[in-house]
Amino acid sequence: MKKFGKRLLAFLLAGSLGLLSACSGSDTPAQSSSGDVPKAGNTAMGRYIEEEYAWPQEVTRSAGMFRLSDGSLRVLGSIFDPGTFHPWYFYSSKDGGKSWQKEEESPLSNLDSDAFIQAATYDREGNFYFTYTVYSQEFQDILNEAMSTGEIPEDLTYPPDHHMKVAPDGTMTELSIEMDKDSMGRDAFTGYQIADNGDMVVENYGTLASYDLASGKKKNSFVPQNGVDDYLLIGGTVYIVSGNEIVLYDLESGEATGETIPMEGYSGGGALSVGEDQKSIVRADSTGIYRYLLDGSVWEQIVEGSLTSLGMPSVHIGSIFEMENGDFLVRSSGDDGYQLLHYTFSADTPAVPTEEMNVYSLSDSSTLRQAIGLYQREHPELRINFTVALDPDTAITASDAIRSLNTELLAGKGPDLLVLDSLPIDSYIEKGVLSDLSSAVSPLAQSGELLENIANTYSKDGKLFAVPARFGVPELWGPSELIDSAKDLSSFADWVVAEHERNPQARALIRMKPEQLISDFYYTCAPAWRDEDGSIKEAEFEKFLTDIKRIADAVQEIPADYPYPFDDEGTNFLWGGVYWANGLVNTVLGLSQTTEDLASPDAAATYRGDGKFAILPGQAQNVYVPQTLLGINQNSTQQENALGLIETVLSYEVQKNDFEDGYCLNIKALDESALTPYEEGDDGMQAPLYIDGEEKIFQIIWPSDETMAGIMEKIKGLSTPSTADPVLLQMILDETKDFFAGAKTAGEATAALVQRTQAYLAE
Amino acid sequence: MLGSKRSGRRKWTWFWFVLPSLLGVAWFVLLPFTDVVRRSFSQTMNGVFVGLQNYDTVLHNGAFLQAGGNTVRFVLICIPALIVLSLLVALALYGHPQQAGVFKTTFLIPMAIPVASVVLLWKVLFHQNGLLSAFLDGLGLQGMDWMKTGFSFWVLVVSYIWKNLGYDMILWLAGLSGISPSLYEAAAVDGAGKLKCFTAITLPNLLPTLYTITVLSFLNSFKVFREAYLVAGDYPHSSMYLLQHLFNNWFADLDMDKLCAAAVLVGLIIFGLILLLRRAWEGEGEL
Repeated sequence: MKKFGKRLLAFLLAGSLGLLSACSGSDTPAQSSSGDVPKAGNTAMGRYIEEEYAWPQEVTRSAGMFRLSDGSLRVLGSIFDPGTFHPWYFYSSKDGGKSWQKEEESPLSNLDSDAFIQAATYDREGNFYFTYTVYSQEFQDILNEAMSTGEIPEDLTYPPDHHMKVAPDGTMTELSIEMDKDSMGRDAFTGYQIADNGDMVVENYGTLASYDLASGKKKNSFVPQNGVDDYLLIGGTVYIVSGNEIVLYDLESGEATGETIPMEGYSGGGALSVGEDQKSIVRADSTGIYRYLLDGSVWEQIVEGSLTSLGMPSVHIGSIFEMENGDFLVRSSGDDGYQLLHYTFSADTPAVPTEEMNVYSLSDSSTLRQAIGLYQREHPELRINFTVALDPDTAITASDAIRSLNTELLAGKGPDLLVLDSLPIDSYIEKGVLSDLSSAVSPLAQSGELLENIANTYSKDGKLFAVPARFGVPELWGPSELIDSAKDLSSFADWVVAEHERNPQARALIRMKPEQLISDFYYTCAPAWRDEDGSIKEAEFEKFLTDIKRIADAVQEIPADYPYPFDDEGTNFLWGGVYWANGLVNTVLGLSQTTEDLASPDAAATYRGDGKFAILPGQAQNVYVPQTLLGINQNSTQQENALGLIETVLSYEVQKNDFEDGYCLNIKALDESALTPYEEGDDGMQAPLYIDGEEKIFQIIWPSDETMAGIMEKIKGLSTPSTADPVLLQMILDETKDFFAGAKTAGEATAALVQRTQAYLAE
Repeated sequence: MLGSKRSGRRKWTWFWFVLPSLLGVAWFVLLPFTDVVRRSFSQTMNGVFVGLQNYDTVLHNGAFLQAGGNTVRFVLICIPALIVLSLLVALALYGHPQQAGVFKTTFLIPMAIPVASVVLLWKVLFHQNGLLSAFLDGLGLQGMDWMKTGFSFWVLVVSYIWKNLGYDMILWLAGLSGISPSLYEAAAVDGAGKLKCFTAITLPNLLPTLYTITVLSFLNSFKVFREAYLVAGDYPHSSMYLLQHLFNNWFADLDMDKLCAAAVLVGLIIFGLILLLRRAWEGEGEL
C-alpha cells in the first residue's frame, strides 16, 4: 500500500510536470487565411454594417450637427471661403441623415453677412444657442496687414462675441454672460452645451466651467487632474473624459462625485454622446463604437472599427448619434470634407466575416490602413487583419520578427500580403516566396495610371514580385550657382569648399557632421559603389569618403546668440527653409516624403531672390527610394483579394491622401498633390524670421505652378532605386570614424570596410 | 520459473524508465534534425532535391569559411587554456581542503550570472566611453570602442574561461577525489617525488575526467554566442563572427538550404571529433 502510494505520487508529479511544461507560441505572425466558409448552421449571424450617407453638399464649414428631441437631425453650415464669409443655413434630415433639406429661411437669415458662428448647441426644450462674431472688412484688412508685416497694432480691438438664444417660436434674444477672458481679452470658449437645469457648460482648451444663464455669472469650474478631453451632460452630472477615464462631477456643486469610468483601450480622439435611452454613453473612435450602461461596468463593443472606415487614418470623428431604431450616425471630417457614416444592424450578415485575409508589416503604415478600410467597406464578407510586428510596447526586435515570419513562410503558411520594407526581399524573390503581381500592376503602369519606372522597380524576367506604393525623393534646394554646377557629389563638395573660402561665416548645410553627411548622401551614392553581387567598389567608395570629408571640414558654427535653437538632428524641410531664409545655411537637403516639403524652401528661395530645386546629386543620378513595398505570399489562398487590396493601395482614392509617408505612385494623385492646398486669399503659414535683431514673419505659401511643374517633371523622371541597408550603413559609420578623425587614410578606411563587409556580403 | 520471470522483467526495466525521455528527445531533437538533413539536400521553399549542391555552396561560401575559421580558432585557444587553468585551480584547492570552501563558491559564481548582466559588464568596461577607455585617456592614450576591434575576440576568450572555470574545476575535483590515496602512499614509499606522482599517478587517473571535461567544454564553447550576439548584434567585428552568427543571419534571410547543409556539416565534424577523442581515451583505459 505504501509502495502503491509512492508510485501514485510519482506518477502525479510526472504528469503535472508534463502539463506545466507546454510550450506557448508567441510573436508569431498572422497565419495565411484558409478562406473557408463556415458550415451552415454554425455561423453566428448579425452585425452592424456601414453605409456612407451624403453630407449636405454645399456645406464646407459646419458649426455643428444636432439631434433634436423629435429625432430629426440638423446641420448648421456655411461655405468655407478664406477671406469671405457666407450666410449660414440650417439643413434638416427627418430620415436619419439619408437626405437633407436646406432651410432657406431661419432666424439666422437676418445675421450680418460678415458674421462668423463660432459655437452652437440645442437644449432639451428645443431652444437654440449660438455665438457669432462680426468681422468687418475693415478689421479683416487690419488683420491681413498685421500678418504680412508681423506687426500687430497694440490698440487692435477684436470685435465682440454675441451669445444668442433662439426659442422654438423663433424669438432671438442676446444673452449676457460674464465669461472668462483669454489673453486677447476675448470670451474664452471653444464650445458649450446646455444642461438640464439651464446652465451653460463652457469648454475652453482643456478647461470646463458652468454659467448661470439667468444671472450670466460663473457658477463652477471643473478641474480634473488630466484636463478635459471631452464631456457629456446627463441629468445633473457632468461626465468629463480626462486622460483614459471619465470623471464624474456634480453640476450644481462643481465637486467630483468620486466615481470614475475607465476607458480601456482609449487613446484619444473620437466622440461621445448620450445613448438614446438616456441611460448609457455611446463612444466612437478609430477602434469602433462602444456603449457603456451607466449602471453597468463594461464598455460593450457594438461596431468593430477594423471592419469599417472608422479605422482609416483619413477619418477624424467629430460626433456620433444613436437613432431611435438603434442605428448609429457618425459625422467625420477629412481632407475631402465632411462625411456621414451610418451603421445599421443587419441580422442576415454573419457576425464575423466569413473570409479572412492577413496583412503583415514590420512598421505601421497609414496608406495601408486607409486602403484596408476602403477595401473592407466594399467587401463586408472579408475581414482583413493587419499585423504590425514592431509594437512599441513589446521588446521584439526586427530580427526576431523576421525569423518568426520566416518560420511561418517555411511551414507553407504566413500572411497573405506582406509589406516588404526591411524584409529580405531579394531572398524572397529568389526563393519564390512572392507571387507575380504583373497581371494586376503592369496594366496600371502601362496605361499611365502609375509611374511606370517606379512601379517596375522589382520587375524581373517579365514578372513583378513587389511594387512600391510610395517613394521618397532625395532633394536639394540651394543657390542657382550650386544647382547649376553640382551634378554629382564631387562638384557639390567643390561648391561647399569654395563657398566656405568665399564666406567663412556661412554654413553650407544644416547637417555637417560626417555621420550625418554619410546618412544624407547614402541613398544617392550607394548604388554607385555597390557591385551587382553587392560587393563594395573600392575606388568609388574611397572617392565618396574623400568628398564627404571635404564637405565636413567646411563646417561653420551657428552664431551663439541666435535666438532660436538650431536643431541639426531633427530639422525637416519646413525649418530648413526657415534657416535658409534667415541666412543661417545655404542649402536645404534631405529625403522628402511629401510635396508639402517643397513649400518652405521655395518660399525661402523667393525671399532671398535666388534659389532652385534639384534632385540631390550624388555618385548615382535620378535616385528615388521605394517605400511601402507590397508583395503577396505565394502560398496565400487569398490571391485575388490580396491583388485587389494592392490595386486599392495604388488607386487614386487612397494615394490622394497625404500621410507624409512618401510621394504617390498614382499619377493623378501625384499631380493633385502638386496643386496648392490653399484657397485664394489664404496666406498660408507663418514662420519666424530674425533680421538685424528684429523678429519678422516669414510667409510660406506654395511654389508657383511653373516651379512645381519643373519639380514634378524631375520627380517623374527618377529611375535609379536605392533602398536603405541599415546593416551596411552602420558598418560604414563604424569603419570610417578613424578616417574622419584623421587616424586613417581613405584607402585604409575603405579596406577596413571591405574586410568588415566580407562576411555580410558573402552570406 | 518465478525467478527467471522476475529477472526477465528486470532486464527491460531500464527501457521503460528511459522511454519517456527517449520519446521527448526523438520528438524535439532527432526528428527535427532528420528534417534538417532532408532540407540540406533540397531547395528552401519548394523542397526540390538538389543533391550535394547546397554543401558545395556552403563549402565555397566566404562567410562560412570565415565563421568556421573563427570558431575553430576560438576552440583551439579556449579549450586547452580552460582545461589547464581549471586543473591548476583544482589541484591548488584539493591540496588545501580547509580553505577550499570559499574559493569553490567564488569560482562558481560566474556560472550563475545571467548573460545579460555579463553583456552589461562588457559594455561598461569596453565601450568607447567605458572604464577601460577612461583609464587609457587618463594615461594620455586613446580609448576606443574595444568591441569593434580585434580586441573583442580576446574579450570573448576571457569571458568564456571566466564563466566556465568553476564548472571544470568541480569536475577535476571530483576526478581527483576518485584517486585512491593508497597509490600516493605506495609511491611515496618507493621514493617518488611530487612531480613524479603527478605525472605517473594523477594524470593517468584523470584521463576519464579529461575526456568528459573536454567534451563538455567544447559544447559550452558554442554558448559564448549569446554574449557576442547581445553585445554586437547580427554582424559583429570580423574576429568575433562565429558560426551561430552566420546561421542566425541565414535564418533571417530564409537561406534554409545553406543553413541546413552547414548545420549537418558542423554536426558531423563535432560528432567525428568526439568519436576521435573517445577512441584516443579508450586506448588509455576504461572511461
